[in-house]
Amino acid sequence: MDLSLNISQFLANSGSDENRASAIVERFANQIHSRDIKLIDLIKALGDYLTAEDDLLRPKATQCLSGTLNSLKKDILTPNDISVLTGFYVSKLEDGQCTKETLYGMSSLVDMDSFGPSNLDKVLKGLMEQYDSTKNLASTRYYGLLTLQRIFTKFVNYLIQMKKDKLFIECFLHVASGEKDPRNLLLSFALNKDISSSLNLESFEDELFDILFCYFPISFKPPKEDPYKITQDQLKGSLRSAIASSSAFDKDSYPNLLEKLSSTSPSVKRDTAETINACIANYGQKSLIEHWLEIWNAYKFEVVHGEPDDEEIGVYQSLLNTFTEISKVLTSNEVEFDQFASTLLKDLKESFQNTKTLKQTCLIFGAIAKANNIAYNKAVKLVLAQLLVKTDGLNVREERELIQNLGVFTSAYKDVYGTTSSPKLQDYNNGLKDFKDQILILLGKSLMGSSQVEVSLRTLAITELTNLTTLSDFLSNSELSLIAQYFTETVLMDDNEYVFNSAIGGLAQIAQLDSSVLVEVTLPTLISLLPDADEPVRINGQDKPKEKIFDVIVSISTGGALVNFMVIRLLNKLEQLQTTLADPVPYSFLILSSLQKIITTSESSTQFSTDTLFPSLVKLIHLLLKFPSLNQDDAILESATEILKLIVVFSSKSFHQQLSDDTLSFFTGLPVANDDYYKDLEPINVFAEPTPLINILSKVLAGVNKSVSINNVDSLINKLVEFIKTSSFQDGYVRISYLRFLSLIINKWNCEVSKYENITFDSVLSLEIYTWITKGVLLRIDPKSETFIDVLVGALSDTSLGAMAANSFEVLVVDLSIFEKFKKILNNNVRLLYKQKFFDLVVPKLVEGFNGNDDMKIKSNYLSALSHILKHTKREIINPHLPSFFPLLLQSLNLMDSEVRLASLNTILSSVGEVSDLITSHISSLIPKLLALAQSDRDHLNTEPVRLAAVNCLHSFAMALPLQKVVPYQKEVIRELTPVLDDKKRSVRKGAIDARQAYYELGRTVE
Amino acid sequence: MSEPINANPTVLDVNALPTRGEDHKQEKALDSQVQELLSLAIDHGVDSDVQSQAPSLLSDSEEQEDPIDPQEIFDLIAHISDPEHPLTLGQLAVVNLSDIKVIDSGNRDEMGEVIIKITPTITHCSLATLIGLGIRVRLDRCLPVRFRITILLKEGSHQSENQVNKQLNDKERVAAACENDQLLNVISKMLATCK
Repeated sequence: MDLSLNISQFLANSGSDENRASAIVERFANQIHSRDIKLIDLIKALGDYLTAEDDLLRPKATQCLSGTLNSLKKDILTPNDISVLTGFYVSKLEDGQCTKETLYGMSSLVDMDSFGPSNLDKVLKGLMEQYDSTKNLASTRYYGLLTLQRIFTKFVNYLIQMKKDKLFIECFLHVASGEKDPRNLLLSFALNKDISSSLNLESFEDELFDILFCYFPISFKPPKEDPYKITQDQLKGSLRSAIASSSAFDKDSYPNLLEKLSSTSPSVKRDTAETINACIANYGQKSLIEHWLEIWNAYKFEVVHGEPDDEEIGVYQSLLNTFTEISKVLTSNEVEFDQFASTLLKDLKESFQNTKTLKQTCLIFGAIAKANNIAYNKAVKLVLAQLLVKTDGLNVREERELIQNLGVFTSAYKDVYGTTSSPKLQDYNNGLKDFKDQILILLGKSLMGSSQVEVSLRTLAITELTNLTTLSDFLSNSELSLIAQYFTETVLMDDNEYVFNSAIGGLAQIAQLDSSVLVEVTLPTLISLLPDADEPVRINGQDKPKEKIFDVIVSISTGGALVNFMVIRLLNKLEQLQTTLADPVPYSFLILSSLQKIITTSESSTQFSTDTLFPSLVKLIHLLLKFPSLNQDDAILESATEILKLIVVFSSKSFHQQLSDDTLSFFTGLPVANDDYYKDLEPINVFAEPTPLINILSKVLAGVNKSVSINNVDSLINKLVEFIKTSSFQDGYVRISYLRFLSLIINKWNCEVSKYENITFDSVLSLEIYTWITKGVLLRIDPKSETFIDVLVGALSDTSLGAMAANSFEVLVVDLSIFEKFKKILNNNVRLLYKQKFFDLVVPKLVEGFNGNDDMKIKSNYLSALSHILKHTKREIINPHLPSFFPLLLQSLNLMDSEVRLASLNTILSSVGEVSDLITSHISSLIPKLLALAQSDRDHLNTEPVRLAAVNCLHSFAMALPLQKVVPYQKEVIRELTPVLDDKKRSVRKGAIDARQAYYELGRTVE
Repeated sequence: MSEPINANPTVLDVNALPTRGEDHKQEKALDSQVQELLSLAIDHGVDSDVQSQAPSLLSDSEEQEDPIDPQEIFDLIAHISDPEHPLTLGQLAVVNLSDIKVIDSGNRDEMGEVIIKITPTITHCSLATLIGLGIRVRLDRCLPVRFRITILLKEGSHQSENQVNKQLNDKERVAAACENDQLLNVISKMLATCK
């Protein structure tokens, strides 16, 4: 290839097509690598251009050479080459027209392997004498700084050894002064930091500092489309670490920084404090000994009179951090640290008398305590002794403040020694322990000794006591028990929501640490308080409803051990009640429903195995079979069998096959092979006559893993269907129980369902059986499910059964507990997406059916089917289909069924935000309808929930729809809602008030 | 606003304000387990000639009435912001539950009356009228028209008690004040914190 041709091409493209130009340079470099050409050839060929008279040509030629150098491998040039090129570039610095290209070349050159120290002086001197940074653009100055940085990285040791520090620093000051480009500043700060922390600064520290501090504080805002994406924080951080790099700066930096501390701008103040913190951490102890007094004097006013709660971008916290930093550095010098601490204490002494600044004083010492073990002990000793001098006869406010101030030191404790869950440092004799008794007495008194009206004081005391329990290595077991006792008494006696909840939270926290404390202290107290008869509990002479105890039990029973304990105790209580009470039903229900809650909430927070609960499972089954008072009441039986299901669900799979076999035999009247579950009990045949006991069978089978097998499922299903068809059920609950069982079996086990596909609906019952079969099929998304659904959709147009068929759709989508899914447990064949699939499938069919029928009664069947589905379907699934059936929704508001109305209203309400266009287009018909639904009507169809939903819809329109669309209705809505202000129900009145307020304020902007 | 008239008022904790006790609705959650199940009977709520049962228990033909009581009025006005502090009238104890009186027979055809006595934070508070006006606007918007609203300063709580009382309960003057857009803006701002 022709060298000169390429050069001409470069010269032509440079400045216009940089990509082409750099490709050419790249090629030169490659040719030199492959020894096709020599560098000297290139220089020769460039020769005339490099010295051309043309001010535009020379820089381009220089650029060509510099670019090639930049692309060259670092080991290709010989020391001789380098020496010549260095000479060339240094002399080229005189040429003011191509400074950028020259510096670019120079920065590449110094990076070459063979660039030796001998060339250093030439470059540095050249830069100082020939280069004037102030006359050049930012991009040019960049290469100047880059050259220096590369030299520094490469020759730092040489510079130190040969005592060339001075030359280099002078050169740096020359090159870096007057810089204002953010990218260059980052480079300059970094280089300054390196210089200050490694070179001998001699007499240059002032200048090096000045060239940094003139930029402080940085208030740089990155311009839009900044190619380098430099942020303010980057600059701040870089400048900060440069200022903090050398203790040689301290005599300048502290006075200057402290002066900036009084700035009124919070962000400057924080920046300053953080920079001071960095200086303290880096300058070392010797420097700090000279300066801490100066720092303290400047800080005093700021921290003592600052507002700690005014959390403006964390200014106060960064001020406090300074004390932590100082303490970290000083603690290794005991004398000096003592001096520091006692100076502060002396200056702050007054605040122990003047409560106004006591909080700040405690925060300062808390910050000191945070530093480490030594600082902690010192600070605690100095301050707590003063704080705890007077703990008697305080008024409530003082007591509250005292507890808050103590809290500063417990939280510092966590920083130094860690919490029980993550301990950091062990120190059995830490300072806080000396005051432990006093603190416990104080908090105990605040909690137990003050009036129940003092909600905030008591809540605070509970929070602080809870805090103490979390401290690593702090409380003894008996102290923990004492606190548990305080909390137990509090939850029993105090009805205030805040106090109650925080005490419950405290108990839960203790349970996490050591559940045995609760098992020993709290739970026995609770159980012993439970009355033997159906009467209120007497606690300390006051009558409380016993529900309260159950509330507490439910809230604190978490984890296997506690749950197991409660289940055993409460089942004993349950058994005892059956014989001692004339009517044990209400009390029994309370116990069983509480147990259900305990297991449900506890398992959902953290799953645990219920294997240890198996004896209780057996006991509960026996109790249910034994006592009519337990198996004749629907609510009790439902709750109790739900407990059975939960125990089975969370137990090991290995128990399930036998449990399932035994239970199935037992309830179909066959003898049971094993003695584990049904010992000494007479088998029951659920197919002899309808019995609610079917639920025990049903729930146990609902709980077992789906890998459990059942013999001859199809005949069981046949038997069930025949039995349901031919039996006469007196009781709705029992009938639904059998149907539910049918649905469960069909869903859970593989079976033949196609023969039920074409059932003839000769009775309501046959439709109902069909519905429940469909549910089982649908939930596992069986390929047959569409056929079944089509039959049900078809039934909607039946004049006699249509209305009931509409109700079937609720059965299909309602969430039943037997089909509940649990994390990592496979106890049924319910597919996660079945609702979505069903919704996608059925909605178009319903819309079609609605449009294809003229009879209003039949039309309404489709509508109510739809609203039943909507009631149980999530918004995300509904929204995409909303436009297709929105008109139906509007019509369903006129249906004579309050449930349907409510479902439609709720659908509209929940979609206002997402499909506001759709709603806006129907607003003219919607608003009058909603206004009518908001009023009570003669037929009582507008129930409280309907009226409330209607006013809430109106409210949401004002908030979410475009203003200009709503404003025309402003007056009408306000006027028509006036009678609703006199609604019988408070919730509706409140809804109307809020809605009206929103319409009053429509379009009014509050600044 | 220049210097606040009362720069350092006593503030009540929000939690300490009187509230209506939480309804214990959760209790019913499990009881309804069976109810929900029963509602799945597909002939539920369908008028069938075969079994003409009595209307289901769930229908609320006998809807219980919640009367308008002082707590309800308090809840309406306690969250109005004070014009000069970022606090509510309830927190500043300008309005107190015990100073609210409701006379209401419950009969929709009879007049009812609400009497509220407000306590300005200091006796020379020039903002008492503004606060009173704010309360009046709030209640005018929130209460059924059959209620007469009387707002008075608590006896002995203000230097020019009679004057302010007269101003607050003069329909014409209130109406005139509400025509003033700037004033209405201030009131909007005060009402913006209402819950």
